Amino acid sequence: MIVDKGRCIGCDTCTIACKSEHLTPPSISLIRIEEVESGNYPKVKKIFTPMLCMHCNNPPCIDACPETALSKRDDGIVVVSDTKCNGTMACIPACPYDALHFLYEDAKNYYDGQPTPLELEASPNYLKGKVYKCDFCASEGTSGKVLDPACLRSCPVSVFQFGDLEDPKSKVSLTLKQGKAKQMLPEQGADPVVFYIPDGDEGISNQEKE
Amino acid sequence: MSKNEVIVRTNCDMCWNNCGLLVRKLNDVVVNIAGDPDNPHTKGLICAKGLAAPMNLYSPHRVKTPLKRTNPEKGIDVDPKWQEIDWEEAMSKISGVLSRIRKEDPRKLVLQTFDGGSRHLWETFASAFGSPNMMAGGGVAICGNNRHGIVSMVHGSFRSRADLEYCNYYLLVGTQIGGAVETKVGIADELANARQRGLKLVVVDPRCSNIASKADEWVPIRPGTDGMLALSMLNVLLNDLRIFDAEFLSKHTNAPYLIGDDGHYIRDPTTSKPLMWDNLDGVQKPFDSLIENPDLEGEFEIDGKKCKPAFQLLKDHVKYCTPEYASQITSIPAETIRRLATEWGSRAKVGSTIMIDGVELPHRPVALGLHKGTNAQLNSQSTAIAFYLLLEVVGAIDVPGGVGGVSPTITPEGGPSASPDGLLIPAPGRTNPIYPGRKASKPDTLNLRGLFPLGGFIGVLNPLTMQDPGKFGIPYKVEALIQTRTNYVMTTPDPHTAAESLKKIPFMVSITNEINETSEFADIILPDFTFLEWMVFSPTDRDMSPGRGSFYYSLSQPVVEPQFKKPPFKASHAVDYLIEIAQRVGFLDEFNSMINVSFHLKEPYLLKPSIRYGVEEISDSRAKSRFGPEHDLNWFKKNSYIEIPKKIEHAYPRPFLKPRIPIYFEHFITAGSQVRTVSKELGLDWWDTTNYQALPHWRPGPALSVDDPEYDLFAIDFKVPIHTLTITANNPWLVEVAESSRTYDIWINKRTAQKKGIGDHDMIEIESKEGRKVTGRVKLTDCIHPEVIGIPSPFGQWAKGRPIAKGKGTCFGNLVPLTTSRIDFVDAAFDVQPKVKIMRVK
Repeated sequence: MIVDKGRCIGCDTCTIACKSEHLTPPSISLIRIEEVESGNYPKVKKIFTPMLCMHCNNPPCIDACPETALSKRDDGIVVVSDTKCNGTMACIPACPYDALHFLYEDAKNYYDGQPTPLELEASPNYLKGKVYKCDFCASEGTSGKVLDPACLRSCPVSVFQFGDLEDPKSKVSLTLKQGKAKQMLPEQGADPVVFYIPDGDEGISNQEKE
Repeated sequence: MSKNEVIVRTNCDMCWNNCGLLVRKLNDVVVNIAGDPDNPHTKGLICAKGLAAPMNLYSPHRVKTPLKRTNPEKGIDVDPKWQEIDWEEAMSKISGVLSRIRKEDPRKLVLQTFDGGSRHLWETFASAFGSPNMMAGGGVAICGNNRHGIVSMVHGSFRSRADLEYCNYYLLVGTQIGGAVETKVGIADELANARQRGLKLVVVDPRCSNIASKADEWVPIRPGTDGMLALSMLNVLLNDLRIFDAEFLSKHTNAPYLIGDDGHYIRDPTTSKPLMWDNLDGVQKPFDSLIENPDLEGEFEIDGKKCKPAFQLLKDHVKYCTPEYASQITSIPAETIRRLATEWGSRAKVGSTIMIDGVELPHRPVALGLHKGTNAQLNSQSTAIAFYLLLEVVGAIDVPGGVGGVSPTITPEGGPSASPDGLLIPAPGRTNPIYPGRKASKPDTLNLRGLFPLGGFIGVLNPLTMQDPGKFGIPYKVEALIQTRTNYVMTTPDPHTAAESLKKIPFMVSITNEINETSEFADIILPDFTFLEWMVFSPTDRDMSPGRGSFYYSLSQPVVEPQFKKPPFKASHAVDYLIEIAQRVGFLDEFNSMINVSFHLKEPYLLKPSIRYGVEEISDSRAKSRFGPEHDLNWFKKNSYIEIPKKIEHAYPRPFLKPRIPIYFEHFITAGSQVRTVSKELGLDWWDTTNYQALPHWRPGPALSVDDPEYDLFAIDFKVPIHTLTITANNPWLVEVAESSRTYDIWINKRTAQKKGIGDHDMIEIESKEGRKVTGRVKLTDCIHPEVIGIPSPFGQWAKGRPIAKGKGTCFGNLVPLTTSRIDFVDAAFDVQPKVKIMRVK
């Protein structure tokens, strides 16, 4: 996946699309937008970074899990098995990207009382005491069988590109070849497969180009 | 999944953009919402609010059955002691009260709705009942209303937008267009594309909003001074650089019209036509005679009286607004103002053309956008006009690359006409009356229509007129209010005054999804539909079609059965409750005949007297009258929308139009003097007509006049991308995201806070010069002007019926009392930029 931060306006459409697709319980969001300020007044701006599982080639979470509950599928997607996960939470601090989330015992419904008809009809069975993470929408969500992740499908400004990095002719491979998209925290050695195109000052702004 | 799957096409209504949706149901439960990629209006785009709509639909806090109040006392924090009643009791109570009022004086009934899709049906109900008091509710505090007036005069439209396909320079002032995906979801994507192909984006705002963060340049400005920036840029353009589109000004505006010492047009003594000066012949000629190059500059004498072209007056008028002078007012460095004006002038490429679909058109790739920030101030109308003059002087109106009307200037059904003075009058059905305006008169409506002859949405004083109509010369009192889909208390500048106005109304009905701050004052509550349960033509059929692309008309249709106890009569929208009332009270005939007129129904689809039609049947007649018998309601249920391709003159109408547009607003002078006369007659000596001027001006608003050093900060409010007013405030998905991104916190510049010993996450008390106090949590940031604190709005809600919304954020409106010294008396804007002091509290 390639994430073009220069286009991201921090609208959280992806965050809610993910929520709507997977109906994750309160406090668990498989994608989030991190907002940091860059520069000082008045030469300042907010930079928005959608954060999700990076599906690393050397996933530290897999190494950290004592139960081998995490695994990397043949297609590169890192998944967690809720039958094997027994809640040691060892994977959580191991991830440099804060992409794994634990469902605590005191978790509630969004509306404190009964779950809504939506949750009753479509909610996957989230088990307390287990870890949950983004699987690039490999598991079926509320929109049924689909190919692209919900964040990408919903984004009103086309921040995300998704495809097969092993296919040199795929759109993501071609974008990557342009050299602008970078891994986040490469020094951690996880070799993530989500790449970020920096926003403006992190690269070249339109104004500087002139 | 093989569960009973159904996908329904409809329109979102979590804000006013009405994005096309595909709603997925399993076993008759809404489980997923997605953008409809085939929708010509929104092309599959959607935002967080729309995606979260199922949580509004299935909220356990929804009103499930009619309720009546058993506690006669009303007020903020007073428990109404609701009691469930059946539909019959509710409808017979309402009809009883309304029957009595209609006999006494129908004007005593007030109706309030901010709903786009059904507003015209509500208006028809009000007219049929006999009441002129149809209100939008509390929109004045949150709306960019000031642009509607100038947009109407220039585009003959209700809204406008940039042509980002061909625009290269985009100036945004006091707006989050392109950053907050509310009302214009497509612009965010268009703007991201345009930025990546090299468009320069400049955002003028006290706060570095999300879109300012994407800009090439954020220009922080002192609140309430935007108008001075525009006047100064005009001065640099017209007087220093001498960049303007003389051909456009001569042919398409009233710039060459000659103006006398009294500010009025010099007119032909026999025909009364405004005159221009023909330099070739050295004489004056009527505006509609063939003059190749009428004079735009200079001074002339006609019958011994001196006069100047309007353009010369504009040039002279802005001369004092030097960048140095404007810098002191706006806090923007003079060299920045000069540079912005220079960039504007050079990027406009005056004289350039472009070929589109084989037609050569002027190309003016500069555009600007204005919204609430420019509206929430004393110089509201003038500020919008001053910025629009930047577009007009370079000819960037309704041409490729410039700004165009959204509700189309010309439709297949017709276009604008010309007044006797040759100026543009919008096509019938466009809503703004600013030109030629009404004649000022003694008020007969609670919004004081007679005293705002050039205003559109003019309800700013409703909370005062509803309390004491006699004070404003209104000859009756309010006896009943029916309201829906506006949280008037929360979105009026001053909730306490709004609350007082509701307390005085003897009988109030609120039709609502959840019991909000406004519904708490009701005597009867009726459950409202959500957009996933209702049937109505969306407002796109009137004024939401985008400038380019296609005309587009669409239907919102029920996806699921209403999640409340259904009434014993057929209802697919709250308007069906009104129709039930009309029948019980006995004015169904009037209602039906007015529907025929309001919606231009045609034979054989006209409604007949005495027959009870529902919203469904009315929608069917509307569809067939407009689009022919094959496009009936069933067709729309299946297809959701109809698309009619635009021609080039629809997309870029200006080169094809004869009516001129004003750069000089002569009729403001006339209206001002009429208003002065009427207000004096009413004893309203304080009614301020300063803003009725033929050219835009700037004067310090109330905050800039405060010289008490203790009140050292300006407070502003701003909307946030994740919420639509209070519609979404109780949605737990959206609230969770909002809280995790500190959406409800108050923005203070880091250095300002440091000087005051205030830290991140501290709680502070904010006190306005007027003595109003609110509290909130601090977010330290570099993304705000050091003289300003920014309060997200409208939050700080207290209704018990919305426990998730309750207590989130700060109620900005509480800082500013609704006083007449804060009003722009032309467009009825309210200045909500108070001077405040802040202190840390435990």
